[in-house]
Amino acid sequence: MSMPLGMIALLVIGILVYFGLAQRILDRMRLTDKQALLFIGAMIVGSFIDIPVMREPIEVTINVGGALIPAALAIWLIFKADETAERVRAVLASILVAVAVWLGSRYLPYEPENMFLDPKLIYGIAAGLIAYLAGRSRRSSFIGGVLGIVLSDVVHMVTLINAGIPGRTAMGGAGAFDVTIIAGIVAVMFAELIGETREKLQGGPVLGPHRPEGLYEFSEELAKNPNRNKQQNTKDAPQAQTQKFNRGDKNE
Amino acid sequence: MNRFIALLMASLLILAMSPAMASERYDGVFFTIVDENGNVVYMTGRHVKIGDQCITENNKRFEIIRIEGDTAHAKYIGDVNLSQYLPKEAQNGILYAFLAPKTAKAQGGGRVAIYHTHSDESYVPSDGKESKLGAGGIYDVGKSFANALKAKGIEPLISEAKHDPHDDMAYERSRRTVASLIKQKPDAVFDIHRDAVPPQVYKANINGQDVTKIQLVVGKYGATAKQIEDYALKIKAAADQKHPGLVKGIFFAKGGDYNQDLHPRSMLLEVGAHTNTKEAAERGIALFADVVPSVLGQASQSGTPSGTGATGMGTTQSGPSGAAKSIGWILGLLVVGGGAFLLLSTGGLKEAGAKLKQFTSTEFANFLGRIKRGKKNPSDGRE
Repeated sequence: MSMPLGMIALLVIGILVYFGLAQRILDRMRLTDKQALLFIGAMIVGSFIDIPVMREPIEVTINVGGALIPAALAIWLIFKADETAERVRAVLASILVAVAVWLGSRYLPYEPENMFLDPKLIYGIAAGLIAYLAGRSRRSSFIGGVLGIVLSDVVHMVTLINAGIPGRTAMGGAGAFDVTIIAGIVAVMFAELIGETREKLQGGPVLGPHRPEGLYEFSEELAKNPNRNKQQNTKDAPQAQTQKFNRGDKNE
Repeated sequence: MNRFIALLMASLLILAMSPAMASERYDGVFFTIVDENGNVVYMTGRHVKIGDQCITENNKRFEIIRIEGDTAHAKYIGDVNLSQYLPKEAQNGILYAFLAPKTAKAQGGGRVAIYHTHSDESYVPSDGKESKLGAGGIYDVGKSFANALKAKGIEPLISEAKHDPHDDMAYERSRRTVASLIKQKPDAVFDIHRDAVPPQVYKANINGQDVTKIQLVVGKYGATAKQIEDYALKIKAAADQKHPGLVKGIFFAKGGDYNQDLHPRSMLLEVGAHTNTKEAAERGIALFADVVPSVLGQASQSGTPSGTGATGMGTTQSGPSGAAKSIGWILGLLVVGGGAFLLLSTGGLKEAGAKLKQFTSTEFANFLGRIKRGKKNPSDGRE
């Protein structure tokens, strides 16, 4: 295919920015930078593999890169959660997102002339908001975004079978560019945005000479190694320490 | 209790998000767009919004500024000079010479992918009703397009995938169809629809044939929207030259990208309305097939659109190309979004700068440096 340089440059930049963002999001999901990169590589390769699930009455396939791998990460995150309440919140968020997609797809405008926001963004934002309200957690947001869309595909499949509508369900069929992954990414970004805004409205991170270089790392270190904290922050007022500790707790 | 409030707020959000809830499509209501003097300039399916734009058949661009009932008042923005989008000899340059062998390879042949996001869309006079789940009359229009392309030596890749029901998620389901079509490396991708307006809006007689006109739809807020806009203008320019009056206009819709971000030559076509006959729509799309080779660059000597220069990044005469504008938007949003997030999460310019420095110095140390065992790198446990 002949393409002018501008088109090629746009393609390359678009892909770099998209996967760059995805990598920043994934490394917040209990993955290291390297694991997040490997994960993206696996999603891209997996985009080319569709696993048939059933043929009758409707055709159902699962794409490895667009549904299987991200769903596996989401489920792994649920199992790795520190407490049962967190698990319940993540599962609850996923179900609520599926309900939001189901309601939204029924009642939101669907003609190009009438739609007001890209469905990918609507459901990503809905997932981020629902998961943040349910658990104030980025991981819950990711789980809600990914599993919510996968569940909504199951709902779609059941709808087709019940109503006898011919069709097919290709879960995650668009691979790395599927709404499953985009909703997960948008959900985390939105949760991050409202989370940071809320924290800022509450007074913001502690500023001044004793502010840790990164709040999240600090909160984790604090929980793991209280002694180190004492060495670093001996001059801190006790009140300020409690404040930091509390805020750190919410950063799941 | 908290969870209950969360549930309540989530349902409120969903309700708030659906101001245009369950709009009936086939009640005969449609929007008429009028200019400052009250002249009708455009008619389209319903619910246009303030800020929507359209380019009319005679290449005037309007933006909707006020809506009263079914009449949308639009502001005249300017004439679009389509001559710069016509294919002609590309300017010679070092880059062009470098790319020339590659562009020459694409002469002749070519593949065009065709699919239908709204697989139920049908034509009342021919199909009996406006919607047939899974078996819309629109498939016949797609087939007519495929046959006309085949006659021109272009290989059609037609997907009969169904995306019903006709709802808000249809584009996300058809996104999967587009992805699978793109794996077969098409040169262009068309999503074929039909509109929902009275018949006279699309009715036309071209070369003595009764046909329906075609509307191009561009997702105004897609990631690559500006580049797709260029592509739409190129199609309109070629169509105006080949079959004047065939392309009714270009509608710039605000509600999504319609999967046009997946391929640089993606276009959504509305072929007639449910009130036109399917046969007229089939003839209209067959005429449209005459335009495709020149748009794909096969009729001209080069695959490069003139006006955007040999590199496709733009020229001093025509300004930056759509692709260059889209790159600007993507990078601009990245910088603004990243900056806003840094400021929000740190609380000050100084802190934001420090965090950025920490990000560039420690974040990449992990995957560019050697693997550390035993003692954990503090940035590893970042959550």
